[in-house]
Amino acid sequence: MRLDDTILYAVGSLRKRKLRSWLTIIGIIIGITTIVSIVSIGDGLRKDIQDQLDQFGSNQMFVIPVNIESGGLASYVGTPTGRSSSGKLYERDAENIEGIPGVVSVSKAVYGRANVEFKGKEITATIYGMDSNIFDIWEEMYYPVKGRVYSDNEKRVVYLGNDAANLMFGKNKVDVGNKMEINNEEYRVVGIMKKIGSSMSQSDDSAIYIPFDQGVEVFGSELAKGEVSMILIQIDEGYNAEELKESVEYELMKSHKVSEDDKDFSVITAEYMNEIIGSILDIVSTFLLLIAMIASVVSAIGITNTMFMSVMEKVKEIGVLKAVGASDWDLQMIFLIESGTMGLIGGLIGILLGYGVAYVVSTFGIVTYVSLQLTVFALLFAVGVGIAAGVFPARRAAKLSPIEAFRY
Amino acid sequence: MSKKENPVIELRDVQKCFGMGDCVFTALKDADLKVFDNDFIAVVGPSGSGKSTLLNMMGLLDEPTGGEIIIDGIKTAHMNSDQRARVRRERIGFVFQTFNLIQTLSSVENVEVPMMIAGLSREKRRKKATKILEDLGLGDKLDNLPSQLSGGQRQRVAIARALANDPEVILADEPTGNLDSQTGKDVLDIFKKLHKEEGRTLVIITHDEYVARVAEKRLRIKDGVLHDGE
Repeated sequence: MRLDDTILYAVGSLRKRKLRSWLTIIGIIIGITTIVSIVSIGDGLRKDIQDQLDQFGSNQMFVIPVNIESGGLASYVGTPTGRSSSGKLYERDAENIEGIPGVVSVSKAVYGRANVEFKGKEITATIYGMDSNIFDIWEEMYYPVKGRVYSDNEKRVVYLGNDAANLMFGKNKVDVGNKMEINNEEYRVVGIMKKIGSSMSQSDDSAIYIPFDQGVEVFGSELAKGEVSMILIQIDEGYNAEELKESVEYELMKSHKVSEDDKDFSVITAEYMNEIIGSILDIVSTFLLLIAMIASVVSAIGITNTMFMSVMEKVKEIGVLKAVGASDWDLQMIFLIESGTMGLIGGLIGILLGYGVAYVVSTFGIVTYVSLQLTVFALLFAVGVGIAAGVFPARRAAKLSPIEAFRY
Repeated sequence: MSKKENPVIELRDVQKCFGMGDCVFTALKDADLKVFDNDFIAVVGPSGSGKSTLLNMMGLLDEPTGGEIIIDGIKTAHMNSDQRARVRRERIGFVFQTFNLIQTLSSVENVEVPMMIAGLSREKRRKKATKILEDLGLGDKLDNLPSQLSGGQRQRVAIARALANDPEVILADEPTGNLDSQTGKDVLDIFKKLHKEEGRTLVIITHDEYVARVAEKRLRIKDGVLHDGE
């Protein structure tokens, strides 16, 4: 049989059994859509976290007043104020660190929650009192979409996260030049940040930023004298973050009068963060891979089932074709093309629908990401499983003698 | 006489058993048969006599459990499935009781199938299929699906398909079995005409004495044993 005739015969037979063909294709579509949408959510989560890790450059590190290794992380994350019972950082720590060779700059931050009032609406918001050089270090993230960032010596000025400006005060949107009250003191809005928009930065988007000294004023009653919530360190190009981390730790242990074993702080570098979050991501990835595998198996069974049914319907036709002289090869090619075509159509539509589902899911604030690898995998999977599911029963049917096939 | 020396189909001691391993049921016992060019043979026997098994053996639709089947002087015992398919495609035309047309293909497409498998070009096979169907009085049913045809018309499409690759022999298994007597008679007229006017070689399997009388030579089969005779 000639190849063009084989293709025409196979495609013609799909067209003539429209209902059966579409039912089979729908089976494939459901399977592929499931795989693509589920994996896209997992990949999205991964990519989202990874992107944020990448923003934290290798020439930066920060110090927090808690020992992560001794299990203090949970208590640290669990307290909304970021104040830990285990340890404290002070402004003089920041000054000491600044003196370490290789440190370009040091930024201090205090934060907590306070009452904010705008046009009669009062809310409780997260407020960061931060040195303005943080905005230079993370310029891309804290870029103003309107107005400007503040400078350290300014009094009573705020820089607003995008959600804080546009969502938190109900229908009243805050604009540059507006006034608002923090703990009953009047502040002037100098700028509004662009929306960061990733899942890990939701709190940054809805935060209110004020100069460090103002922060100390706002939270002074809650803080010890000279206490800071976090210290951010910018490292000189030529220095290695891990080596510098040791110098910082040594300096802090000395001034806190603690040893390696009872450290009351943690110095977190990009590498360390990758290590911590990477291990969490690995668990998440393994879990998602498992789900994707289950989705694949389920859809493979579905595809095999519909394919098998459609081949079984054609056993008699296989018998007729054999009786009038079709070789086993001819029959296999016909079914290869038929099932491959259904796999291809089902795969393509399934991928498009998967993109659709991923998009719809993303409008609910869950980051999704359909990678090229996922697209290629889904297509190969659809065609591969389709062909396997179509050709194996067809091969078995082709092995029957025509007489046996007629009996179906 | 010289022509008669080389049979189109020859069966030597052909046996067919059914059952796993052991011969539980013997459908055909030591059948010897020669079909020569231009023969018109009827094999008559009641149902269950093994006559369909005999036809399946002659047409290489099924494999014997013993004996030898020789087509045009070529032994078929060691042929694989594809080689047997090739013999069927090139040398044998089949007509079945239940027509065995492909339901999704039109009349003309059904007739084209054997030619398509043989690798004939689209134009040639369409032309030839149309011609055969027109000769059989189905010129106005070319594009009808089998479901849109009467039983007699379907059997004529099946005969047209059997003729498609100009086989050396046409094997018909109860070709009138699913037809009423008038359409059955029409189909037999076609066979007679094919034999007389075109010199086709035909073997018809039937339980019906009336059908058998159309043939020039009759064989009888009972309990898997083939006999000569009227």
